[in-house]
Amino acid sequence: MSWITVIWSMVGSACLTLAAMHLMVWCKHRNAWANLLFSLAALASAGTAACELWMMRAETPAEYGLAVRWIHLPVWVMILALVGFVRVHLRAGRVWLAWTVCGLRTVSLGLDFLFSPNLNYREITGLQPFSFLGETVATAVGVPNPWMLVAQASLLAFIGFILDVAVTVWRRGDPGQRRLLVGAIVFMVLASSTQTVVAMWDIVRTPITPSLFFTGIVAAMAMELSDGLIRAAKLTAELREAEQRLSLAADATRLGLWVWDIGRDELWANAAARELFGFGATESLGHDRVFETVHPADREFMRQALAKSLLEDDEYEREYRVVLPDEQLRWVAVRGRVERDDTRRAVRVRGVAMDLTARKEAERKLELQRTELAHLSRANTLGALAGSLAHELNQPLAAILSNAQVGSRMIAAGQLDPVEIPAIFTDIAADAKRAGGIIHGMRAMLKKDAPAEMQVLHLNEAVTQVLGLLQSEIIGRQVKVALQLDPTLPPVLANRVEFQQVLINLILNGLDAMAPAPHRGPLRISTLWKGTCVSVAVHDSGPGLPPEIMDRLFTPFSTTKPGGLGLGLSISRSLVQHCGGELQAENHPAGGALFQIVLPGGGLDQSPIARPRHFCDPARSE
Amino acid sequence: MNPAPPTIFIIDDDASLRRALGRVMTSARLAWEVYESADQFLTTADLGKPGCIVADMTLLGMSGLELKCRLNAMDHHLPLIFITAHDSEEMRTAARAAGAAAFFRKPVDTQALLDAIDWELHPPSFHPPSFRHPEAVAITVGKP
Repeated sequence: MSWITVIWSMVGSACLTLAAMHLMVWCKHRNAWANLLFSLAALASAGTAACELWMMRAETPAEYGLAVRWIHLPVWVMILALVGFVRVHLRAGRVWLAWTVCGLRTVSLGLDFLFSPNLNYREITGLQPFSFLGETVATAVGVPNPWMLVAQASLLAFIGFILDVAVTVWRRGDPGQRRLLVGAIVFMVLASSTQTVVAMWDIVRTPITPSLFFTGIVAAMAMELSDGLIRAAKLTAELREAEQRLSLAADATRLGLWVWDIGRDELWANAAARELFGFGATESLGHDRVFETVHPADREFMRQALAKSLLEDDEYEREYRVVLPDEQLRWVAVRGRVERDDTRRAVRVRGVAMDLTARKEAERKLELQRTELAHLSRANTLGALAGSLAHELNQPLAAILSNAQVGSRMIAAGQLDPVEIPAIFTDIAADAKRAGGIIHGMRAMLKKDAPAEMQVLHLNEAVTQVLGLLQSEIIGRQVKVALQLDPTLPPVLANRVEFQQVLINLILNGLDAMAPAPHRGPLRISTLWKGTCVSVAVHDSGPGLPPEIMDRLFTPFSTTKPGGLGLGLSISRSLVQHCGGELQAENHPAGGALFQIVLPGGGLDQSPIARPRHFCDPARSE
Repeated sequence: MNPAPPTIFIIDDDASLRRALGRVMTSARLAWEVYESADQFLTTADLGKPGCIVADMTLLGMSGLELKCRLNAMDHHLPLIFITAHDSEEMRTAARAAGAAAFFRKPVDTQALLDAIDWELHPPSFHPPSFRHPEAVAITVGKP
């Protein structure tokens, strides 16, 4: 049994198999240069093995010489492939050294084919049998060719190159696998070189078997590359797992996922997204199809928003209405991220979409409830002012009664004064109308408004009106009011009833604060124009706000008054914010509490302040 | 008894009511003067005249109650009848404490008011503790 044939054939076929496998990998992924280079190295290994077999079985010196000549070719391929592999896959080794190696080797190859019989021997005089693995193989006897030094120089350079790589890999702290690979290469190369030199220069008689060493290198490289394959497989499994998790999460929350490839105008959407927008389950989607579903009123805005986002922003967030196939309306929130190429051009947008209808509905209900609450608070305040209102109504009633009684007296006594009697009736009528007006005003406060309309409001006048309403209350509590109205105060955009409600609340609070010692000082009410905003301030001469309640001041249901609900300030603040303003509270340095209603506007160049609502306001659509 | 005719000083911030009360006084053949605020009264009225003050408690500026206190301090003892819409226990107590003669709730019956004025201008020599009129919350005045 020829062991040599067996071993060399096995080595050869193993290398060919590996070469074929990795060549296929490279065919599928043209970027996988490491695999191509490996493939070449494995091929070279197989070629070397074939040549060696040829050498060992040579029967004539001429045949041996030819074999030696031809072995240079696969060796050349091997060296170049190995250098390439090290550079591409390990990213180590000095470039100039690599070029030197390749250059020298190529020169050797050239010289090899130039010389006869080959680069290594000037002349092969005879074949000497050598016992190797129980068989006789041929080894050459001849005159070495000094030009062989070129080949040996390239070998030296190659060793230098490999050692440099080893040092780099060690220093860099690459994983153990890598170090092993480099170590194996170093060992194999050194061993192979030693064997070749020793054999060629006839120092020791031995057959040349570089293919075995090459195969060792090939095996190490294969392990390194297959490691990469294993990692790739693991990553694929992890990726699939991650995708499944994402799908599950998206499905559970009915979150729509989408990716829009801008170049090809193709939109991928998951099942939830398709259902959300009313797309078919397998329908192919693009820009225009998506815009078909956008509500006509929102379409233009959305187009512009998208264009802007693609141009400038990286994140994209919008809420709009979608019309479903069955004419149903749905609010959606869409959020995306723009992916750009190196020239900052948008290539892809990927994002999520959510059904907002429930939230919008909740917002609408909240708005309704807020209005209800404000209304209830007004009604409550009105109740608190019953005394003052009684006074306001009683004035005209008292006048009517006195006039009527005096009038009937005069007529009974026969004093038909032609001036006085008509005057009496005129006064009675006027007073009756006056009483009617007061009641009408009360009804205006009690009316449950639609979400309040903003009007152009002259604050000084509104303040004076409130003070008129509260007059008897203030006097009844024996409090002095110091009024300071800024004559330059411009009109602002606000709701009259809401503003007056807040002011009444603040004044009543001030009166309550001063109740224990009403004579300590006045209740100061002032208006001031501050350029960009106007402020209406209520400053009492009470004990001030204790620091521990300052953060709870506007919290609903927190109160310092026994029997109080604790809603007044929180409602007041929400009403002021509704007008686009701020309600501020602090302790005045001169003592007492200072509450300020700050409303925007008044600047000549400012347009009337609109409420900060999303443009797609359901109330103003259709 | 004072030979000069008594004057009724009417103090109320409501113009219509001032007119009406003026007519009432005229029909009762009483001299009267109207003022729209306590300040105006104190600065322009001749406090030496005999008579009676009919005032609302709720006035712009100085309140009716404060007016009474001022008058007390100035040692003017014109009787003062309060007519007011603001009827409450605190008000009555305060009025009583200040020494007001009577306290009426608006709208006030003309006859009741005239009777009260008459009572103040011509006090009987004895002080029956009974009340003559159900609408009037009479407050006994300590007169020597």
